[in-house]
Amino acid sequence: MKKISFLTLLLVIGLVVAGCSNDTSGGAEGEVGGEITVWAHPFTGDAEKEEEMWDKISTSFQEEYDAEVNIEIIPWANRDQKILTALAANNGPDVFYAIPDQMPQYADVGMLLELDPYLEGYDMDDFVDSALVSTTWKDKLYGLPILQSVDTLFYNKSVIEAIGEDPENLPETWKEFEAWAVKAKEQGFYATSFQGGGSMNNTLYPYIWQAGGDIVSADNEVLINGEGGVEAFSFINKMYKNGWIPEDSVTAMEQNALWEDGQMLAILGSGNTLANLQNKGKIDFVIGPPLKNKKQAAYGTTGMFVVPSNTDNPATAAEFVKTLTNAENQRTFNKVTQYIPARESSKDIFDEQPFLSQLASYTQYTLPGVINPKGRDIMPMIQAQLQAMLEGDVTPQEAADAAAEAIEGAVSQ
Amino acid sequence: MKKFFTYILLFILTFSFLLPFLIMVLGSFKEVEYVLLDPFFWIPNDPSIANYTYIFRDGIFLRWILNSVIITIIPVFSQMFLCAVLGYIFAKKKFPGREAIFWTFMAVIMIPQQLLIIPKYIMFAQFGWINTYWALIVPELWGIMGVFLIRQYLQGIPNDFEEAAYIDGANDIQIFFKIILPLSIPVVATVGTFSFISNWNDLFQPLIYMTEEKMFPVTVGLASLLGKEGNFGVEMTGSTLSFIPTFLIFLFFQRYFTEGIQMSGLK
Repeated sequence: MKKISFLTLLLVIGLVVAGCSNDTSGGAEGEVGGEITVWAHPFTGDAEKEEEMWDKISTSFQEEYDAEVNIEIIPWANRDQKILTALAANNGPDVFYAIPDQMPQYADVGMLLELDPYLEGYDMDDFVDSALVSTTWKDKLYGLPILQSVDTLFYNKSVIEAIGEDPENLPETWKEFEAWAVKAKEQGFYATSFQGGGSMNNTLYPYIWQAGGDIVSADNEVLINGEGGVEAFSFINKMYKNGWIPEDSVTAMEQNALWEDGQMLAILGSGNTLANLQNKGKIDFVIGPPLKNKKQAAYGTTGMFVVPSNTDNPATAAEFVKTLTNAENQRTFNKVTQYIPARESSKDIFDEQPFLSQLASYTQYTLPGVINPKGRDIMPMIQAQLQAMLEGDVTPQEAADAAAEAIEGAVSQ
Repeated sequence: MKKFFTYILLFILTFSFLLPFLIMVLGSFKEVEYVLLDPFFWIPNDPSIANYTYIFRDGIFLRWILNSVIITIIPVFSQMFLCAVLGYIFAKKKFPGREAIFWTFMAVIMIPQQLLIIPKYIMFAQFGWINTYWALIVPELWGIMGVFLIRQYLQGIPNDFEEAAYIDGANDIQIFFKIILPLSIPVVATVGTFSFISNWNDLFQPLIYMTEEKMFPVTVGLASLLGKEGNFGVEMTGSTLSFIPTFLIFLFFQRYFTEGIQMSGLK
């Protein structure tokens, strides 16, 4: 709560600063040149490799433009505070890395530079559509995507065989998954993981999207208690009551032990799960497609680079973001970080890595969470209702309605 | 028999307190990126110094150590001296508004650090102190908690010492250096230890004020080495290296540390 209040305070100050800064939203201004500072983060544990990567990317920009680029690697810890403090003091970077729930918060108070005026003639068609959803706020583009991830189900092949199913023919719909879950339960396995104490992005939201619903729109229209939302609440409730998900699912932060112990049919995972499984080599696994009920959907984040509105070198900053996210630099960046490129043409880096290639093919189905300035604030409110439902205190409909009411209150503030 | 059970209990307690340190030190010799299911995964079957080699690979870690030493040692000595002077003044000198001034200073502690960070950042940016040692040294030159500790301690020392020195013709400065300071060594050492620990371990302020890698202290440097998913081996190695100076300081000053805490009434 204290953290949220502090961020709110910073955002308010940011709004004041943005109000005092030059308005550059009317068009692309200035010549490309001078010096810019870029704040990125350590994406892997290998600082040396990343340094080489950034050198290569900076060089590709400096070869084309007479400009100097300073890349500064900022730790992930307290990144919001650091960025907002520096921007509020008008002393921040010219380009920085952002994630989907940050972008609308910053853009909504005018802290980000709109990039549309700088994109004339730039190849935008190659970007994965779902990646651009994350970088757009109220029909304006505030960032260019560099990476994506996707959360989908990883199945334990031994368990699939134990329940008499075929690993080559994995469930694609809720109905098919339910059939497998029943068999798994009969054989003493959990069907999948559900970490009710964690982010809603990895629990409730994907089911809502798969049921054809949504949480809240950019225009603050609350949708969580619509038909799709209630169906998702009901499906999760059913999984819990039937014992398809573990008993600790109400508050669990992780359930890796059950998965690693071979007691679970499938676990929701991403590229990190893949790296972990491959490193350990203990479980023989296959990756399944994101499930669908009315719509095939999954959670997947999008990493982007954005330009603050109070940069004193907007043209160079915007040009650098364009260069950084072009097809070649997406390859360079994602080869090192092992994320999925946000451009279709750059996905060829995984041609020799079938699992990563498979994950990359699913990014088209991803959604980045709730794109709304209140996206972070509403999560604990929804979580509380979801947990109350799993505890048996309220019905799925009541939980969805109560969550909707809480969201209404938050977005109307 | 009773003694035996007491020892067993003490052994269990000691072991449970030491276990995290054991995991930290042994884990630093293990090349493992992820925390694994096996609860004893941190025991290195094949000990390796790869994590240490990685951390020391290009000398930047030594620079981070140097930065930490600079932003820690200067405030430590400065706090020990200035807090002793101010503690002496607030404990023994009588002047109008003494209590009001002291408790106003104390009230400042109630303001969360996070609320002051933006005004401080703006001020330091105007001074040109961002990415310099000044931003981390100047605000730490003295601290009201140190003044409070020393004041409490000195209030317990009879005024007779001072009065006797006055009769012998000593002035205030002589009394401070020859009578008060030697008597205050335990509490001054405690203030120094507190200052050392808080400055050495501080992540938040350096993280906000420093953006250039070469200016990072150890805390921020280590954080910058970690990818989004972390790296168990590197984290344990960094923690071990970062822990050593704090441990040594505590080892050398523990007598003063406990004495100072007891005598200043902060039990």
